[in-house]
Amino acid sequence: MVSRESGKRPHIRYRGFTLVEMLVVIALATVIIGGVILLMTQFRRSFSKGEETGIILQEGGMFLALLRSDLVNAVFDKRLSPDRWREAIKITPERLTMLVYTGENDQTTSVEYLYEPGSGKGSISRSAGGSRPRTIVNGRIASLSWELGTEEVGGSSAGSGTRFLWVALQARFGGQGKAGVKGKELIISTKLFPAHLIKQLR
Amino acid sequence: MNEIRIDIKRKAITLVEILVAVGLMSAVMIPVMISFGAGNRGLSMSSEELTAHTAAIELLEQIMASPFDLVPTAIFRDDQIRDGQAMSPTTPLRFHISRVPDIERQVSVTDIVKNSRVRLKKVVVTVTLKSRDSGAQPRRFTIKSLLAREN
Repeated sequence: MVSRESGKRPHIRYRGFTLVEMLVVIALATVIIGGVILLMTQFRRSFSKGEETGIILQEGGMFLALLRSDLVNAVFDKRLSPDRWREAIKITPERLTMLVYTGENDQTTSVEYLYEPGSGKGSISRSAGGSRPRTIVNGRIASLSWELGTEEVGGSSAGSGTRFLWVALQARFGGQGKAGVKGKELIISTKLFPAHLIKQLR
Repeated sequence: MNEIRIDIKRKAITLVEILVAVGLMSAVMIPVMISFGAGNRGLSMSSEELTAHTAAIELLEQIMASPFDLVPTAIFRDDQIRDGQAMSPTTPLRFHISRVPDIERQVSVTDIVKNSRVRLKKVVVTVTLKSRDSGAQPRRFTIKSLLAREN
């Protein structure tokens, strides 16, 4: 800015900030920025946890739906003698195998579920007809147990009574996904009944 | 030396302005926070619904797999549905259920008669999620199916 009268630059006195003012401003800014960063970090953590919980729910639900679908379509292997009906579904701590009706040209195929435990990060894969296993749950199983339950009511010979068998499943989903973030645990405790197989056994 | 002083009036931010700014920011941030919390609550509810659905299917599947004539016509309350407990004194069938906390089960089996013969049985399974909040309405999950006579 130039004075019209003298043509000289005017001398403007600016008063600077005092040390106290600067310290107050820095302190306030630190508190506000710190609060925002803390809030955003919690927000992000919470978001990741929610995301992880969603994945657990999705994978857990998918596993349960697939296993139920296979069990509903499970059939008795006619190569087995009728008195070996308890072997219609073969279960070991790592494997669950059954013969499933596929609906394609009246064919049946062997379906196998493989559980690979690994220090709270277990996985489950499924293979049908000897094909390459497809991972259903990837590193999110904290613990899993499946057992075969059997019961005979109203007689022991074929046709005279009712034979029941079921798969008792206990699974705890919630392994660690992203580094340091754990989703909400999902516990599935249920018994699955292969309806067609039970009817075949009557 | 001619020294010209120019008086520059600097106006500071008033308290009202700060309050308006804080208010506007809160108005923007609070719905964001609330919607995020609602998302997490939704996930929690989905988990409970999966549990309830699984418990209901477990009961329905075993009744549907049972022989038509052995399935008793009755209403079973939660205290009558226990693992290994007989469904009724007239049938050898027993309940096979898993222990699931915070739910209540109820099963109703009713006859559907046609030409004075029971042709179908209507099976209704209801699972109620026990609410942790005493004032909240309990959530119910119901599935139905028909059991047909085979012969």
